[in-house]
Amino acid sequence: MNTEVLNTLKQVRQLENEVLAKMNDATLTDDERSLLGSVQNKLSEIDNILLLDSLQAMANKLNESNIGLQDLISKMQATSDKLAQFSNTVKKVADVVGALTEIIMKGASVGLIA
Amino acid sequence: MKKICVVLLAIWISGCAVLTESQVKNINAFAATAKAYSDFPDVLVRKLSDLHVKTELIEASAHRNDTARLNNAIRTIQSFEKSASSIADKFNLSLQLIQQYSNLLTKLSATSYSEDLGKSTKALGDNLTGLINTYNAKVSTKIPASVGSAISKAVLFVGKQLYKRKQTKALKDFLLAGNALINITLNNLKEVLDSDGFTIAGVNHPSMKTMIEEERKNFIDKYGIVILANISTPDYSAVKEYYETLKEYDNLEQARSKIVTSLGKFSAAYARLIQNVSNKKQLSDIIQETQNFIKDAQDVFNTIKDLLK
Repeated sequence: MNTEVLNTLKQVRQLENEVLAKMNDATLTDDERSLLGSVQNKLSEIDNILLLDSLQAMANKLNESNIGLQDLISKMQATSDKLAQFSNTVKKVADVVGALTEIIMKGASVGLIA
Repeated sequence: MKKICVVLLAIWISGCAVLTESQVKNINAFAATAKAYSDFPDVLVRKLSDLHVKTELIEASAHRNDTARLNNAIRTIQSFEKSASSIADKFNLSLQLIQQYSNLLTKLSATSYSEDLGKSTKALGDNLTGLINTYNAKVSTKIPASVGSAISKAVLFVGKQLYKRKQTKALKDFLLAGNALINITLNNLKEVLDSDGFTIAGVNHPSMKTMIEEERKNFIDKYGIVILANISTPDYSAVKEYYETLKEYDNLEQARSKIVTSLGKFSAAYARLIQNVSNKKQLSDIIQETQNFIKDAQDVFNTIKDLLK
């Protein structure tokens, strides 16, 4: 499929080829060579702009869903943190009760608690 | 009455289906695939840009004895390199986000939280058993030694079931939410890298596949006009340069093709994951899940039954 951008690029490059071929002519005067050189510079700039434009369009297409993905990732991280907190809460309950029973056990064994 | 209450509570907590081991394994397998994925498309942009610069330098060499035009050409090339590098940096963003997403799926499906619960409640059980033994040494009406173990098992069972319920809901919600986004991203990648062209903001653009072909053709044309047309005697260096650059284009095309293939495998792994997690109709999974639950519940029930004799 020849896209508009690709068609334009091909036309620019065809022109570049013609200019470069003319620059091979040994009979050119300095002014003629300089003029052709200026045209070649400009065409080269346009060529680069068209290529960069295509590459940028590719990047934009690839990144279309990034905002949605970033939002989803933030929510997942928050949920992961909450799950860890829940697990820690249960652990603390178990640890606190465990520590309490240890204290009571030691107290009972030395007769401090009847 | 107390026995019935304990069992009913356990059944209610576990009423919401939890993920099976095979489903958790599927999530981890997908996440491992995503984490190991290293075929990033930015290498294509960087290499294509390098090859384009080579062609531009060939054109620049046509400005014989014209320093001003040559310097203009060099400045244009430098500007192009800077812009291309900046664009290349943006090529990997979406894949990096998918990797982050899959890392979080792994974290959310981890069993380490419920395993940690097991360690804490074991310590609790040991302490309670020690306390009971001390108490029983002083009194005539003994408390069953297993009461400490019963309480710790009940805490573990309830905690684990509640945790798994929350974990399952979170995973399912995020897998569903991520499904559309990830499919769009993977489809866009394929379109950009492998189609005849793609559309964005109403404009048709050539794909990476097309651009590699076009750049290769452009190199052949420019090299022929500027270098080969001006060789009057056999020039091994010039021919070698030509040959090696064409090989670089071939390698670039192979790299592109490899990235497309690996993206295909990545897409397939993700599709399997979604299908597996959303389809809980396999009898073997339901039976296994039920058996795990029954075993855990029975263990607690038996311990409490002994306690209440």
